[in-house]
Amino acid sequence: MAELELVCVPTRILTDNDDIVDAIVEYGGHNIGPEDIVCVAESVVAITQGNFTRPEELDVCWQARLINRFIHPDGSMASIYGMQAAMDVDGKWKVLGAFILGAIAKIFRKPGVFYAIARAASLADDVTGTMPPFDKHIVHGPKNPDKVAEKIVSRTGCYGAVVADVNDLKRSAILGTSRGIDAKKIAQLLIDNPFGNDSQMTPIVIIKNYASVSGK
Amino acid sequence: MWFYNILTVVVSIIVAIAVLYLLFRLFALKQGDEKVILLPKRATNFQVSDRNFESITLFCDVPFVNKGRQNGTIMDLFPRPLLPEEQFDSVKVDAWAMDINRPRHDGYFEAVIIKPRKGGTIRVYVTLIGKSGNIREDIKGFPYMNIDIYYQVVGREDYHIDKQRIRLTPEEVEAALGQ
Repeated sequence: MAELELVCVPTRILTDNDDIVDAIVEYGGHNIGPEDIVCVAESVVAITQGNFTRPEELDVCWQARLINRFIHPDGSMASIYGMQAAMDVDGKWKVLGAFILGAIAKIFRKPGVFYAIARAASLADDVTGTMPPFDKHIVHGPKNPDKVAEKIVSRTGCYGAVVADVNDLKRSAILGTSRGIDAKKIAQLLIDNPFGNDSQMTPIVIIKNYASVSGK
Repeated sequence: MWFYNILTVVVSIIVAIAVLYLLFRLFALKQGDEKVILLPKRATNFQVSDRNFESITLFCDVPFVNKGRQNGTIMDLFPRPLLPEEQFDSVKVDAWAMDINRPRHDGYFEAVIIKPRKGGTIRVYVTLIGKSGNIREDIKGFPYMNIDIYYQVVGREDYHIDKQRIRLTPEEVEAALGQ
């Protein structure tokens, strides 16, 4: 009987000159079957979409200078540039509103409201957050992750695909899926971060035999 | 009367904003920022890394520390050798640097986060290439060479670019060639 198996696919460093679907076919295509789920790291999808910026390119507003002071020092939003990058995506007033609501929610012991509303803030990686040569950039979250997942399925013929945001702190979130894929189930399978710390080198993980093992 | 009521409301709002701003500035002041600095006075002497007939490569270690109260990130760093041909025209100079904890051989400086009150070491490499092809002959009369180390740092607030200077002395070059 077939068993679930997680296969990491190493690639060269992918850049904004690459297409993520082409890269998946090039590096993992031979190993992808109709029962498999293809998982791809969100930061690499964002990079291949050119969805990153340099701190030097940002014009920092007062809202970013205000809010960043209240973020934990180790967070990507602790720098004015990380915060501004998120505001450029979500809108500065929306992020400010999220911050105010988040602060009120914390009084009532409900954490995470700020990041739940300001999605760009939760997905952005500040400088050093990704491998060279993107260690000097702020990398946003990916655009249209569901569409990316659908493209992967139609191109590779796999059972399903997901765009995942996973780290070594047992945080696993699925940002986009192809049709009919249970995001929570896949997130649980990726909880041990098979992408590794440097997900740019193994940005693709194939969950082998998912369909047959799940009885689909 | 209504005019004075409106005026009172406007003044109250302005005073409230001013007080909140003042409190925020005090909070930011207490919170502080990074203060990442290179310590060129504590740099080691240059030592030989590699030597052949045409060139010699030397390195020295320059410590750095984050004296601030927030995380600091060295986004980029590079050494700039200052040896104009008016001063000495027999060698070509190449220089690069890396964080000693992240050794690299491509001249690329990988961004690094430094926690408050923590530090590290930058290793600066300098290659002197003899223009005639014989470094031992070409290096004769080498005066000294200043090297400016430029580094870009970011913390909570705006990034800034600083520079510190180290010097390669003729004595260090002679000692290296004598080894």
